[in-house]
Order: sequence, then structure tokens, then C-alpha cells
Amino acid sequence: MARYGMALDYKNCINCKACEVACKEENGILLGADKHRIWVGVNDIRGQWPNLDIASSFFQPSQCQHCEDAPCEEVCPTQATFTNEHGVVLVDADKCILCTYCMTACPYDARYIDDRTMTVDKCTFCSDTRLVRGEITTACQNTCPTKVRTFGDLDDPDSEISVLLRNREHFSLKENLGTKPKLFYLT
Amino acid sequence: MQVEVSRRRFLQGTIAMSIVGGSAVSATNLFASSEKESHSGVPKSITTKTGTGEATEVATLCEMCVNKCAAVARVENGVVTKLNPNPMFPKSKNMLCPRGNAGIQALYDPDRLKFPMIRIGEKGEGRFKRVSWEEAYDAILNGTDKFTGMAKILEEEEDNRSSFLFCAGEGMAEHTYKQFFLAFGSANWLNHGSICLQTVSSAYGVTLGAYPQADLDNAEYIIMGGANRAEAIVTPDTMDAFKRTKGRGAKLICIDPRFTNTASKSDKWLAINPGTDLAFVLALTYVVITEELYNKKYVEENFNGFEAYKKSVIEEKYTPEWASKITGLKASDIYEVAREFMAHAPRSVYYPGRRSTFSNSDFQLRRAMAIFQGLGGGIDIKGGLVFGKKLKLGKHAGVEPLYAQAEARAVEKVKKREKGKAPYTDCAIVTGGGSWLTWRNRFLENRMPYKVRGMFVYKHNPMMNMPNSKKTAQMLKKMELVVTIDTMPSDTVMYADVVLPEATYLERTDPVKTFAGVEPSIAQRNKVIDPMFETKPVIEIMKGLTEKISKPLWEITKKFDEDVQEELAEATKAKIGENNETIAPSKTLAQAEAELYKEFDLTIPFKHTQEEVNEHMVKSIYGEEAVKALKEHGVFYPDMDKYYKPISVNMHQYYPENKKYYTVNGGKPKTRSKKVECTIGSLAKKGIDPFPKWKDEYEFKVEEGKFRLLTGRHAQFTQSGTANNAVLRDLIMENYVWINRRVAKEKGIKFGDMIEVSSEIGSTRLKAYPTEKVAPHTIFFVHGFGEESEALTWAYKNGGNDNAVIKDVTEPVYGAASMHETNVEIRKV
Amino acid sequence: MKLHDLIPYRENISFGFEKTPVTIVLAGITIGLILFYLYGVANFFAHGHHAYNVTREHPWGFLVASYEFFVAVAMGSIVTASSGIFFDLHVIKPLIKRLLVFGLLSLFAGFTAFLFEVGHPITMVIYTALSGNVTSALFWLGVFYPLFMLFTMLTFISYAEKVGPTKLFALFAIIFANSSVLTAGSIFGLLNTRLFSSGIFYQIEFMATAILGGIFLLTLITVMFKRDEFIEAVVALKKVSIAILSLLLIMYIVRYLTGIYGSVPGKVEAIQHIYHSTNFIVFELGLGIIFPLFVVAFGSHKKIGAFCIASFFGLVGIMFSRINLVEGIQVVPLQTMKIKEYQEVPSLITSYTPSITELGIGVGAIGVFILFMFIAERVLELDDEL
Repeated sequence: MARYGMALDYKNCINCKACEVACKEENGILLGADKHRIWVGVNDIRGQWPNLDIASSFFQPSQCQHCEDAPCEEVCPTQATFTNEHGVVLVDADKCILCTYCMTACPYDARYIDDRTMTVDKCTFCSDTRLVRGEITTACQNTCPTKVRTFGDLDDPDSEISVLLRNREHFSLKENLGTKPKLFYLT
Repeated sequence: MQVEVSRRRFLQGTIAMSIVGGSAVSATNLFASSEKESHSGVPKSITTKTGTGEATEVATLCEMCVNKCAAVARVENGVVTKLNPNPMFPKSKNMLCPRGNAGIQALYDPDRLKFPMIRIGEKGEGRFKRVSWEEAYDAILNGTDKFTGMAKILEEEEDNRSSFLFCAGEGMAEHTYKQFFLAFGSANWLNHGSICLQTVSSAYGVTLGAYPQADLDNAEYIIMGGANRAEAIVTPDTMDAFKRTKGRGAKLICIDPRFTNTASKSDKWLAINPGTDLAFVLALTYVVITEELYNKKYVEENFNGFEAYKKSVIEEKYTPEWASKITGLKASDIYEVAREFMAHAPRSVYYPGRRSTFSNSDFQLRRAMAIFQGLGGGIDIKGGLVFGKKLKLGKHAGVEPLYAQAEARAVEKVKKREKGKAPYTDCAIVTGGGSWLTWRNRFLENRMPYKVRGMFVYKHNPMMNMPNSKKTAQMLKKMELVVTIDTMPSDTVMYADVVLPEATYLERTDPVKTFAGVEPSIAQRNKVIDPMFETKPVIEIMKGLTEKISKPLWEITKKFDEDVQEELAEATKAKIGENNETIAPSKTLAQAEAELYKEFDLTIPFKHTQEEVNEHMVKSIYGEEAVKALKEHGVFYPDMDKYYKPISVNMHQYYPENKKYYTVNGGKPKTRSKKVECTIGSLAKKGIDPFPKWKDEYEFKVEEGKFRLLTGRHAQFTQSGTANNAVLRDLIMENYVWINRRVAKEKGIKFGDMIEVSSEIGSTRLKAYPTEKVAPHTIFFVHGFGEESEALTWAYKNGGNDNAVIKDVTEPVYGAASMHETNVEIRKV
Repeated sequence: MKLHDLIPYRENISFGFEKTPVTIVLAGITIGLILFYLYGVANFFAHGHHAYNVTREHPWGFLVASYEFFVAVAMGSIVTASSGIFFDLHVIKPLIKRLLVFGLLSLFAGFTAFLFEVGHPITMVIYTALSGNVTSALFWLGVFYPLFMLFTMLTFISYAEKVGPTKLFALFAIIFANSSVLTAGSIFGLLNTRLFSSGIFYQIEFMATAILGGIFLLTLITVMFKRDEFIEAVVALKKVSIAILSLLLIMYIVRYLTGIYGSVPGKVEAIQHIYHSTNFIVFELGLGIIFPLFVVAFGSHKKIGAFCIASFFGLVGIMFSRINLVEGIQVVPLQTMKIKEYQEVPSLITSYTPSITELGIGVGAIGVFILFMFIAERVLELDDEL
């Protein structure tokens, strides 16, 4: 079974937010600025004009990290949050009771409340839209102008993402919390 | 059915919306005017989720900006649920920016124009009455009690076709509209050129022979002056450049008064004073000349008039130290850039840029940039500036009759023509696109050589796109007949007499177009769904309009056009040969008229459907397979099936490396002389410096207590066109004015405080964004907000309008609008 | 087997009460609170979850704090009463039935607040049972609370009707009461992401404040009835309350010092924000710990009124302790980057204030609790047969 992850060549990112819009369009996310599954974080620049610190200004796309050791999954009382056979952390809206315990447990601010079902929602790696149609790309990856994202099977040694992760240094966010995220930022 | 639509009802959109074509199952709840709004004030349900059931995919080209990226639209149950990138187009390289994805919201915008309307209130009030297409055409021709019709105007102006102005924004169907303009016979054409890239395209045009592209995929050293490619996305430059900066193959030097996202991605940012780039380039030129770093061989073989320029640069002492005082940059930086550029030449690019003129020195700046590029020898070569190849297309015949009564373009020549001075009062050269600002101002000041009384506007928003919007409003009010063709009720539409709703790009097939470049191709926009409501593509609008007006206008022509009268008179006489034999019999007047009418028949360019026209243009050269490829894939180029293949999950090969068109002219410019025209004598005759020279008036001056206003782009918006797009507004709710943090602190301004920005011509209000990304003597805010059209629910009075404040300063060569020459005041309100 | 054999209800049920200034004021306050509660509930049914001020970054609000408060009072009352049964503490004997019933009612009042916090209560009941997750503290809450309630009811019936193994039931009531409160504390303690609460502090603090809550409630009841045997109970428990209050005071001091020692990002901002706020210094520490400590340590038991005031403020202090906890775990934002150009860099999330609906339901539940107690007092026979 494929185990999905994503590598991000984040230095390519120009903060255009095409990925944010593509995600909303593909998955029918509600409009509203706080209703987003993915986002591009902007590190505010340091320094004073004209001596600004270029290196301190960078863009970091982020979303649910589909952690191997997901704290959200650990705290969900009804197992509404679960990991499927592809390593994708999903929310079963039928079982979600909106206790929002997962929202306080997630270190990445990945979750928000979907007003239509009044359940918690987050990035699903396009599981019920693109993946289920057999397209092994996510909406955010597909649309990116500078091709920041590479989505693929981590268990396949020949997949592009595996090759990338073997050959390039990378880090993940908040690794010290032991969540074992599956989003890798290539340096 | 005639239904009086009050403006309020128009806003609410509760008129019966007939969705033509496709059983739009969930389209009705896409118009959420009755739905509860989320707390951001945006209706909840204008996003569509893709499904797993049956779907059709149609290849189209995006129209959310000018790039025309190839997209594949996914249609389920008659509803467009997703726009995916079409990987087969070499220019866009398998991507769609945020606006490309948001095309769905543009299609299903509740505020979009749905049916033709005619004005029943006062001009600018926005009170319209819904009418049928037939009634709208009739109103254009014959007018109503509120406005004069075309027939009357032409009758009174004795068939002076130039009494009508035609203006348009850029688009694939602009050509179709222009055919109407050409057939109509007016000489007054204005497009976005003079408020966009006039100076840069013309400057490179006269210097290198054509406006080139930059090979950012292979360049080792790139200087981008003001071109904010990370936010003002241009394909494929944006795709290529930012994968290679920061030590990954290319070094990018960003020259910009403010710290843009491009600066963030660059390797070095030089904070230059606004409008002083020319001094920088002259200093670079000085360094490479005096230190003999330039490609002497290339210059010897390929430059015309270099010696005069070289002499000037050295004698005027355009040293980096001199430039440092004017630009605010360090002299050491200027030396470094000059030396590094030449070290990497010819794989160095001084990026030409594209957008609006910054300052009055812009033409000379771009010339200096083109010359500097030539000094490195990086012209028509891999890694430098390239012209690329253009795949030919067949021609589509139009009609361009000559009207004897039609006056020449309405420009104002100087009364006493002096040699070495500009021949026109407003500028030195008048190009095809004209000079919008000066034309408008002359119209308002009654300095027109004849009466211009009506105008047609297509895909163009003068109220928002030019400086000094107060004057633009006056112009629109003064025009007796304003016909707008648009998809949204923009500010300009509010001033119209007749509003014709165009179908959005997803609802029409547009003329096939060839895209020149290193990897050339032909692409076509295919209709995804049938036009909604009563909208029509412009080709059908033109068809209907010309069918209505062609004959009546012909009658007017016959009445006043002496050439036509003469020809008819001739034709009714028999043609007698030398020996008194009849070569051709006489014709009746009716016959003669019918024959001559064929030249004046306005309906001829629109007799075929767009699909038929496209097929004709392509088949003749590339055959049936190309027609099929364009229909199915939206893209075609020769050997596409051989060359196109995926090379990774994200990237594709379009042409093998050895088949790419880096060099098409032997490494030489495309001027007639095949040389870089360094010194241009004909410019001198018109009062323009024959080679770039610095003038004191170009210096950056800001009075104490005032600020220089800059405008620009964010990747999430296309000028004012996307102001009402619901999903894009989530990304940027409104525009904020960038004020230097220290200045803001001094003035007690905090984030989010309401600020009034004012100049001599007007003021606007928007919120404050204190940041160090802008200098203490400068402020910035993004263009396209602050609409006054109440019909745009979310754009109405949202943010500030830069053109309410920017003065109508024009540069002297083409009369292009200099957008960065206005000093303003700010205060907290 | 008659109903009267199971539940000791009175023969003559009347809802009148002696109209003294105190009781009239109390009745007025109760009615006011109940109206407030109903207003909050009506608002909730009108607007759903949007009536609350919770946001994506701050998902837990006043209702969580309110619920934890009632739970604490419940646990304290029942443990006190059950200990009285199990350890044969004669001083507490007169209050046992009241404490058991009132504790249970406090739990019910807490549930009325919790019901509106969780978005899908019915789904909760079904799926916690069907697909419960053993690593989730909330799941264990769903295991222990029913057991806690069950054994409390069994203890009460057993004790009142003098049937069954009363001591055994009391023991289990104590065990499950403690488990419940420990689990409730673990909800916050097991959040590794939230450095303010992660660790063992809140498990212990919950236990301590719960017992205190029970003692405070007991004192208030004493004042209502002014019976000598009740006052004896209060005096006996004085030592216990001094011990626990002192323990809490020391815990707070040590926690503050460890929290600010070395500026660990994520922890130090939260600790400083909470511990320097009025909510903490005045309400939780001042009124909730120090004031009762002084009164109980140095007050004379002749002036039972002083103890009553101390208990009231002590309960207020416990409520604020819960509020500060909910605030503290969410004050540090997890996403520290801007996600839009035109916003300020995320700093401490201090903008949360409870909406009227949340206050209505959360504070109004106190009125509901008092009403429950009043009804119970009238319907059930809660005094021992003399």
C-alpha cells in the first residue's frame, strides 16, 4: 500500500497562494479567511529599511502534517480522527462530536471547523477527490507555479519523493514534539 | 419583456436567472444572495467540490490576466467544478496561479452582468433598464430619450467615423473587436499600451528591433529592476527564475524601492530611489566602458552609433559615485553589479520588465537597459534576451474600408513645427495604441480637431485604470453615447448608456493564437459551458450589432462620402472602350450599390463562428491533426507528439534542448540594420535624446512631510478586474497602505488605522500597514481597489483607489502615464 | 418493593420556604441566573456554534471552564461524603446525604453546560461507546463519569435506605471520583503541544481544588441551615482545608518559578501572561486561596458567617482557576507566521472574551444548580432520622 507524504522545496515558494485557492476549489472548502486547510506562512522580515535581512524573509507553506504519531489521533475520544491505509490522517465527520480536543492537541494549527457539518476539517491530501479518482497528485501540488511540492509514495524507493529525500537535506516542523510529520522541507 | 430594474433589485440579483445551457444542478445555490453569510461577509457556498462521478474535461486558456495559461476545466452536471493546469502548454509550464484557480468564482459571480441594459437614470447613477439584445442594438443605433444614437451622431458629423472612440483592454478576442473598429472606420483607437508597457516595448523595439523575452531558465545573472515577477506573474519567467535563485544556478539582483516578494527571493536587493533607475544603468554602462569589461567584438560588429553614446557617458561622468547620490545606492554595489554582469555575459540578463511607466525617464531607461544588454552580447542567445520563433497562422479576412469623411486620429499638432522639438503638444510619437491620458485631457479641454461624441469600450475599465479618475468620470459624462461590453458591472459600466454583457472566458471559444518564444506553440481557448443568462461572446455581439447597424450606416455614408458617391456615379455609367465598344455595361444604381456595399459591409468579419475561423486559420498550415489537437488539448506545435513527454511528476519536456529556438537571428538584434541602434537620429528630430542621457528633472524629489506614492501588484489580484472575486478576497480582504514603521510610529499610526492619502487631484482612504519594507519617504498600496460601483457587492468602497490620487503626469515620448511621479500627503482619520 | 424503599422522598412535598432577607436574595439571584441560562440556550439554538466567541486558534472557551468547575465541586462533595461513610467519620454524618445528592446535582448542572459545548452530544454517546479511543482522556472521562455517578447513586440509596454494602459502594465512589478528576486533569496534562499545562500539575491541582470545592459547598450549606452538627463538621474539616490551601499556595509559587526559569518559548509567555493578570492575582490567588486561608486559619468558628464568605470566594477562585487554565493553554499561538500580507504577526491570543451566550450557559448553570438543590431539598428526605 502506498504511504503518502509530501516534500516541499520551499525556497521556490513565491507566496502567490495558488495552492490555497486550488485546495478550496478542489475540496469545496467554505469561503472565509479562517476556513483554510492549507496556507503559506510568511516570516516577517527583520531589519530597518534599507538594511533589511533578506534571509529572514521566507515563505513556508504548511498544512496538516499527517503525522505518523499524530497527537490529534491520540486524543480523539470517538476515533473520528484516524489514519487510513495510505498514512493519510482523516476525519470521519459522522463520528466527530466537535469536542475540539484535536484542535488543542495539534501543534500545527492544521484544523478548523467546517460550518456545514459542524465537524472538524483539515487537509486530506485530496483523498476523497483526486486520489480516489486515481490522480496521484494533490490540488496544491498540481497548481504551484514554481513547483514547490512533490507528493508521492514514501514506501516506494523509486518514487520521486523518495529519491528527493535521499539526496537532499530536509527538516520537518516541530520535530522535537515527536509527532513524526510526513511533510519534509527541502533545504 | 420589459422590466424596469431598479438598481437595488439589480444588486440583489433576484431577477429570474435563466441559465442557458447545461442542467446546472447546483448552480442556483451558487448564487448565494439569499444564503446566510459567514462572518467575513462573504456568501458561504460559492465553492464547488470536485466529484468522483462523470465529468467532461475541456481545454481552455485562462483569462484572469494577460498570460493565458492553459487550463483544463472539469465540468460535472453542467457546473464547472475545477480548473486544473493543462500540462501541454510550453509557456505556462503546467501551472495555474491563484487567479487561474479562482476563475470559477468569476464565472459564478452573483454580480456579473447577465443581460443587456440601457440607461434610464442620470449618467453615472447606475440606473439601468433590462432590455433584449435587439432593443440594445436599436438603442445604440437610434438612441433613446436619454441619449443620442449612433445614426444621429454620424448624420450630424457628416459621416466622420472618427467621431467615435474605440478602446479595449488586452484579450484574445480583442482582435475580433478590433475588426469591428477597422470596419467602422474610426481613426481613434486607444488601448492599455499607454497605461502599461508602451515605453518598454517601444524602447526595445527601436533599439533591438522587437520586444524580447528573457531566457531565465539558463541565465546565470539576472538584474530585475522594478519587475516584481514573484507577484506580477509572467509565464514562463516566474516559473523559471525562482527555482534557480539563492545559489541554485542563477544570481538575481532585485532593484526596487520597496521590498517585494521578488526581493525576498533574490540574492541581493538594492533599495533604489523611485524613478532613478536610469542613473543606475548609466553608471553601470560607465563602469563597463571605462573598465573595458564589455564585449568589444560584439559591439564592433553589432552596434550602430555606439561611439556617440560612449563619449556622452564618459564626458557626462555617469560614475557610480554620481549615481549613488541620485539613486541612494552604494557606489560599491553599482561597481559590483556591473562587474558581475559582464563576468557572466552573455548569460546575463538585464530583465526588460513590462508594466506601466514609472517615471518620465522610462523610455530612455529602457533604451539604456537594452544597450547595456547589448554590451554584454547577450542578444538572441541562450541565457540572454531571446526573440524566439513564432509559429505562423493563417489569416482571417476582415473589412477595412476607406471613409472619405473619416478624419485622422485626434491628436494635436504643435502650431509651429520646430526642428528638434516634439511635433505634438502632448508627446513626440503617437503609436497605434495612442496616449490615453492626453487624449482624455484634450477631449475635456476641447482641444480636439473635430468633435468626438461617442465611444465603445471593450474589456476595459478607464474609470479604474488611469490616473485622475475624476477626469475620467467627466469624460464619460461628456460623451454622448457610451457603449460598454464587459462581464462585470465595473465603475466604467456604471457610466455607460448601453451595457452589453459578454460571456466570460469559460463560456466562449476565442481566436486561436500563436505564442512566440524559445518553445513556441499555438493555443486555443475552447468553450467549456454555454453562456449563462443572456451573455454572448464578443464575436456574436459584433455579429448582432453589425447586422443591425451596417445598412443604416451605409445610407449615411452614401449621403456624405464623396468618394463613394463618385464611385457609384462611375459604376452606373457604362464602360466604353477605345473603339466605342461596350467593355462593361452600365449598372443600375441598386446593382452598383450592392457591389460597392460589399466593401462596406460591417457584417463580413463576423459571418463565421469562431470555431470555423479557428479551423480555417490552422488547417491551411498545419492540417487536420492540428485542429484536432487544439480542440482536444488546447495546444499544438509541430512534432508535439514526439517531443512532449513528462520528465517528473511536476515537469514536462516540450522541446528537446537542441530543438529550442534560442538563436533565431544569428545572435543579432532584429532591427532592420541587424544592429543595436544605440544612437537614433530620428528621435532627436522629434525632441527626444538620441541616446540615453540624464536630465536633472529626472531626480527624485519629495517635499518635506510628503511621500512618493508607488503602486504595484500582488499575485492574488489582476488590477481591478478581480476586485469582486469572492475567493481571492479571502486572501487579501482589502488593500492597505505601506507606511514605514518609524514614520508611522512618529505619526501615531498603528496597524489597521484608517488613513487618508491625498494629492492635488483627490484623495482616497484605506487602512495602514506599518512595515520596514518601504522607505520613509515612500508609501505604497496595491492597485485595483476602492471601486465606486455599487453593483459590485464586495468591491464597492473596499480599500483605496490609487487612481483617485495619482496625477496625470505623462512621459514626453509617447504620452504614456507616469505612475510614480505623484507626491502625496497622509493623515490619520 | 416500593419506590420509597429505593429513594427516600418526603411524604409532604411543598415548595414554600421561610422568607428571610437571605433567602429572598438567594431566590432572586437564582431566578436571575436561570433566566440568564435560558437566554444563553435560546441564543445557542438560534445561532448554533457561532454564538460562541471561540475561534480556530482558540477552540475552547468559557463552557469548558464552567464544566470543569462543576465537576470539581461534585467530586469534592461526594468524596467528602463517601469518606465519611467509609472511614466512619461521625462529624460528617449529618451532611452525608445532602452532600451526595448535591454533588450529583452539581455534576448534572455541569453536564447542562457541557451539552452545549460539544457539538454533537448524541454522536458522542454512541461513538464513545462503539469506537472509543483508549489513548484519549475524553474517552476515559466517558468511562469514569458514568461509573462515578452510578456508585454515587448506589451509595446514596444504600446509605439512605440502609440496604446493601454501603461501605463498598462508598469506596468505589471514592475511587471513581478520584479517577474522574485525575482524568479531567489529564485532558490538559497530556497535551504535549500546550506547554502551559502539559505535565502533572493539573491532575493534582484538580484533585486539590475539587476537595476544597466540596468543603466550600459544605460550608455554604451549613450556613443555610445553621445547625450545630453541621458547624461541627465545618470545624472538623478546617484542618483539611488549611492543609490543601497551603499545598495549593506552594504549588502555585513553585510552578510560577519553574515556569519563568530560563524562558522556554511557549511556556514562559503563557505562564507570565496568566500569572501576571488580574484574573489570577486578584481572583484565583487572592480571593481563592489567600483569603480563605486566612479566614480559616485565624477566624473563630463562632463567626460562621466569615467562613461562609470565605467559601463563597473560594468557589469563585476555583471558577477563575478553571478560566485561567483554559486561557493559559491557548494563549500562545501555534502558528507564529503571518498567513496574509496584511495582518500583524501573531502574538499572544488575548482577544478571547466569552460571548453573552457562553456566559449565559456557563454562569447560568449555577442558577440551575441552586434550583436543583432546592428541589432536591424539598422532594427528598435528606436529614437523618433522629
